[in-house]
Amino acid sequence: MAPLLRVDGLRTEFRTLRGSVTAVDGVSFEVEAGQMFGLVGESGCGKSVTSQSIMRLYDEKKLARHSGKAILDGEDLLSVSQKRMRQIRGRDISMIFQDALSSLNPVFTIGWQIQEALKMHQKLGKRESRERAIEMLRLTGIPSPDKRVDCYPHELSGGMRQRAMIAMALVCTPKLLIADEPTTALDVTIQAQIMEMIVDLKDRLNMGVLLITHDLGVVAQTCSRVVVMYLGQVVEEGDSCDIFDNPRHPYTIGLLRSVPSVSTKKGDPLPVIQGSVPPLDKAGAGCRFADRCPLADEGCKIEPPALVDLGGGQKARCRKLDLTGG
Amino acid sequence: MGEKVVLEALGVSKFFYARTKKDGKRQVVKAVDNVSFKVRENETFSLVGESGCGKSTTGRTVMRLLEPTEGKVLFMGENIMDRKGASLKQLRRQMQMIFQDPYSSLNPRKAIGRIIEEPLEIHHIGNASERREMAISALKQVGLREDQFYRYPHEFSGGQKQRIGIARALILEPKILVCDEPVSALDVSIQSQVLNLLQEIKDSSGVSLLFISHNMSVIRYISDRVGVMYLGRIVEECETARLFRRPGHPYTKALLSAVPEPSPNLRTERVELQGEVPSPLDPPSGCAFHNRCAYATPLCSAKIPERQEVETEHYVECHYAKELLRVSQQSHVLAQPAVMGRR
Repeated sequence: MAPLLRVDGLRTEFRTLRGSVTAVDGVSFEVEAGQMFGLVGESGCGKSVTSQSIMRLYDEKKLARHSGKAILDGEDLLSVSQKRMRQIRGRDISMIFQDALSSLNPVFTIGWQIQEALKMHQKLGKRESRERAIEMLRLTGIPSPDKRVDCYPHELSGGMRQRAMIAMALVCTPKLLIADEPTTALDVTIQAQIMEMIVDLKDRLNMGVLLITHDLGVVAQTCSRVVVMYLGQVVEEGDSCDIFDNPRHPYTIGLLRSVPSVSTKKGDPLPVIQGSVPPLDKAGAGCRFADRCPLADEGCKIEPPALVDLGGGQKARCRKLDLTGG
Repeated sequence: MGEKVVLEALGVSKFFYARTKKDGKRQVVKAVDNVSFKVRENETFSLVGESGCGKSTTGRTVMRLLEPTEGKVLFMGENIMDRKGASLKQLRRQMQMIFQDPYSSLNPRKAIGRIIEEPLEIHHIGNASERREMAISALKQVGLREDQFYRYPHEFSGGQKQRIGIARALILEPKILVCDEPVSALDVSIQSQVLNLLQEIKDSSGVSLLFISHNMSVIRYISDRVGVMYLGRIVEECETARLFRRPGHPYTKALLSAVPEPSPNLRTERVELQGEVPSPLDPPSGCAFHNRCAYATPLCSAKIPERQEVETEHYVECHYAKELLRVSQQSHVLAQPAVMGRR
């Protein structure tokens, strides 16, 4: 079966005052229908740029240049016109963001905003589309949706706003939902509710979900497949079980270890990754992680490593994989 | 960890008065409501809770950055509520604070060396060259280099800025350091560096930490004892390991179970928590948690539960604390390996 979304060699360059910067450099992955796919990494790794490039949200005349492919259902999103893209956005592919308050328009009711997508893409009568909006609010677990539909964003709590935004994104039952840090701004108990709801809706609508987050816990609990990014590149990819139980890239290993977990002994120093993420334009010619990597040698700083297939669907971009085997 | 109590809060409350209702009555927000706790010498006491539970307000109130509405705060056994002027300034020297946002808590127009020196100037400690010496050694202590003395905050990353904040707080050699969400704004790999630094400083200098965070895994790693806050009250207080193993309050249980473990094989047994935290403007009657609690009875909505000691040094504010603790004896273990699709 062909995957729902196939991203192939995606590269996004930004023109800046100090020359061009490659924020995403040759990213490839596949998301299947009904799958929860995690895109993980720290700030500045290019995970959000990846998603926004797929959605074609950047100003391509002045700012960004894409190459590679992003094929959704046989159609390459990176080569279609913006006019066609407007038909695809909201209908076939939707996006939700971290900060629901700034993503919702404060001067329209949430009902209006949910119906906006319906107006764009489907010819429904007024009453019908209002019914649909209410139905969506009910589906996302908002109590008394027939009243809430006429509320403005400021009248809702943080968790409710996030639910309303999800209702907005899903009203045309898209094939793919891109969720960019959907629960980062929320408290843990609300985060748990929202994630549970996303998983539930994914199953019901057989929708692919591309979950972008820095929270390894959320990924471990929800995603079946994971891509780890560092400085614009995929450093490791695999099934959740493999990535979390048997990570092979030194960055993934370091990242997983540095989260205090049940097994971390109190008082022992936490394992750390030395240094910090360098600016994109300062990345060296070789492996981008070399400066922070405990295994790196001189060769790593010169020769860029390739993404090595480890079997079982796991891949890692490292020259020292013989040292990280488990 | 010593037995000596460095900081003690006794029934501290902080109320804010919000806009007036139509009938002319003032609305009260009980941000902190009758909170008591102790921080012992060289101990890390943590306050944990969701946004709006009053943990930061508590931190600020015990430092007297805010004036409490009721209650008193003892520092080294002495009531500090009526300190003012020079004597309050003397006290501040021994209580320092680091903040969540390293960007906005450093003056962008000052070189970091000057930022770190400033507390010494304020307290008239040493002469210019001595102050410089001390600032440099503080800089080194937090893992920065001497040649960065004249750099400006914008030249540093988030983690480094947080280190500068820590150096500034430590240069006065305080007895207690209040850390308000010190790692929340940082990336995971940087978070662990800063946590290690705080732990190291605590071990080497004997300072006590009042640590405020919403992140359960950070709390579990760094604290000796934890106070769990909900709507302005400490609903449970306990030694860390025991709290995570055997939480007594239903809210603590739900909170712990909502934390996603970074391993697909450890599925947490979720305690479903309906709805959201009620508005502090209009808290529920009786036990503030009763409308979201699975164990609530009519008694819970009628009467505010008293703080009871269910085991030694384990306090719970719940009518049914003892019964629930017996039930949670075996159940709810955070790490329960589930039989899962492992290939």
